[in-house]
Amino acid sequence: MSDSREAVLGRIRRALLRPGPGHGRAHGGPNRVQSPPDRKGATGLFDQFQEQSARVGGEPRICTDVEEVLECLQDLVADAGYRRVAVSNHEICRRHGVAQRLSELLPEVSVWREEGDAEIRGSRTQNSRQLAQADLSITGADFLIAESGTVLIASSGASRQISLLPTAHLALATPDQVYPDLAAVFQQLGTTLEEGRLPAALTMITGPSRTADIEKVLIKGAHGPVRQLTWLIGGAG
Amino acid sequence: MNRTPSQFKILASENVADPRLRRTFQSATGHALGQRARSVQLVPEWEDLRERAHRIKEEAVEHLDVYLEKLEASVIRRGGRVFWARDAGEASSYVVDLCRRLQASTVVKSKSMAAEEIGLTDALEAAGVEPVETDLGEFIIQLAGETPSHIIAPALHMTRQQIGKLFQEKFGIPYTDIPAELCAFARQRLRRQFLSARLGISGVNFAAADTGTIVIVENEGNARLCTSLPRVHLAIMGLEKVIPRFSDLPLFLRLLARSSTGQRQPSYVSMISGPRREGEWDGPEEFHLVLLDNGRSDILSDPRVRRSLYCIRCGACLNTCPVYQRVGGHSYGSVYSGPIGSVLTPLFQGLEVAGDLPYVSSLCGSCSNICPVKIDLHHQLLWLREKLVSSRATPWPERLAMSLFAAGMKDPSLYRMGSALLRLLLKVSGKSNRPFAVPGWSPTRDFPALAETSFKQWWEANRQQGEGP
Ligand code: SF4
Repeated sequence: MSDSREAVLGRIRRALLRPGPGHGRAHGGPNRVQSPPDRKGATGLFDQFQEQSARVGGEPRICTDVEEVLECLQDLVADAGYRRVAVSNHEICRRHGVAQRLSELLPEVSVWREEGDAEIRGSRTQNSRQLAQADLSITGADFLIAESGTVLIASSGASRQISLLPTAHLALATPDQVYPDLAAVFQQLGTTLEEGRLPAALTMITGPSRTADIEKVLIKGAHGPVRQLTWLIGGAG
Repeated sequence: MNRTPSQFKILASENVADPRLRRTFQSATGHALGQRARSVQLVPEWEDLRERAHRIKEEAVEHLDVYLEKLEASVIRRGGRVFWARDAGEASSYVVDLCRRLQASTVVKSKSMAAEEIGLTDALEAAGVEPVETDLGEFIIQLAGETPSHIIAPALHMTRQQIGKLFQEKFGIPYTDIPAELCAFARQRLRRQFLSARLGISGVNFAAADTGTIVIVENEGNARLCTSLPRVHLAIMGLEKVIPRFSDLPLFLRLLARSSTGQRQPSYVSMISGPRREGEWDGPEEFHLVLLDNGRSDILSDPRVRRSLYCIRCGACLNTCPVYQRVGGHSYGSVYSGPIGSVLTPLFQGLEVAGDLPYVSSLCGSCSNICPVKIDLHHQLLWLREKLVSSRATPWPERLAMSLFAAGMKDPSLYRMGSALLRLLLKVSGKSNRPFAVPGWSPTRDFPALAETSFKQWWEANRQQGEGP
């Protein structure tokens, strides 16, 4: 195994005319991430997010508070005829007791939470199978990117598959999570990086899953959700 | 179907003779170009971004050993494993051994040009493991026993009716040619595979050396499934996919999405750093990264073609290439097609096999202009031609013609004599459109009509009359 490692590295060094290891020194510090000065407030940014998300088939909206979120949820579930809803353990969902409130409001719908002992493989497999049956999943978001209408979720906050397996995915966000562009998000992530706390998976989600592999016809819901909703809680305070 | 790069002329003429294929490629590439142009227009600093990306790639490639070692260390620090593969055989056996250890009878796979390049699916099949392609386009061509015809849209060459028939035959489902229904069927069928497979294989778009993060870009969600559900995730990448820093990613992501499909961001970007961490509900228990050389270090050793390693596989140079637009991806007879394929294939497989490809270009330079990392593709094609000419004997008529041409171009009086002679010859022969019979060339080409007088004569006559432009 280390044979091939030395062989490949040796070939590279010979190709670059290096006398041996340690002679190539990488130059330059971290790449300066430029991002235009942000003159928009949270309102302007979320407006832009809404516009971009809608352009790619996402369904963004603003709710003044959690009560409005719950009202909208009831409408959504009723209109689409959803029977099974999965709620993630994301901080935003826990803070507002979304799972609890939802099962009280909609007793006929089975509301199910991603919780228990994640260290047991059996329960993880069980979790996947259940998620694959869900019509709707609710998670929190970790960042919103206005420029592209993107939701960014870290695996430390919600599982990777809860935003992927169900037919529809709803991300709940707060106004302080909206950033102008990816570069600005990365600047924020910079501190996390220095502390070595980068989560195992960061996922950027922009609109629903899609494909154009058959005669370039656009189809939503290739392998992931057919609908992607992003609701901002607390207006644009 | 087994296609090789040496068959370019045959394959291309088959494609050109098929009006449907011709239309498909022209309209698909035209559409993609339009989308790209619209989204690039919205970025006034586009040229600046290209320049920066070029410099970062240059930094990475010129210090490839340093950054790869750094990447390796970062991946290991995050609990992952790294395997260096000299060639296709080594990479494939590593994957096969892993399947044996996991007792995996099927593996789910998302799109990877590197896996395609080393023929990974064939190696798995030979070892009794069923590789399941999960990208819709790849799923279709795997069923059909075909190869991709475009980097971004592998099944571009097939019609919905062909796909409908294929599904009917292979799965015994009622015939439909409605794309949404075909897609829904594939989704349902593949879901079961995702939920049971022990190993998921993915490609890599970028790998950040400082954090050990691999980035996968897609629209369907199958790569997310491949990297989240199975117990083990193996990612395979060409050596050149490494970039120095995590913080370089926003730049590259911006360039890639806009160049390939004109999107601001694709539906999904996964940034994966090592296996699942404690407390997480999913993610693989093991993460393996295969670093594939397979000829890349040879490319690196020639500074003139080294820049072809900057490629981020966006597909823009294919779409903009007047040759690709007409002949389609299969004509190139290899995994990589279009201008970048014409550079890489001869470098990977040898000029003896793929010597035609550097000539499959009008050298218009459109590819170099569109490339988001500013690879001077048409210069690289020229250098390959030079290599070819100096390495193999050129037929004597061509050598004679070229040396006459060179002499004429260098000496004004010889040039004048030559062009007068040509005019005379054409008049006398009476065949102004096909004056010379050159096999392989003249039957399909008309000689351009010559003006009565040469430009120089015309200029002198008119300038004297004071009627010049
Ligand atoms: S050579 Fe440039 S334009 Fe062509 S696929 Fe690679 S990055 Fe894109």
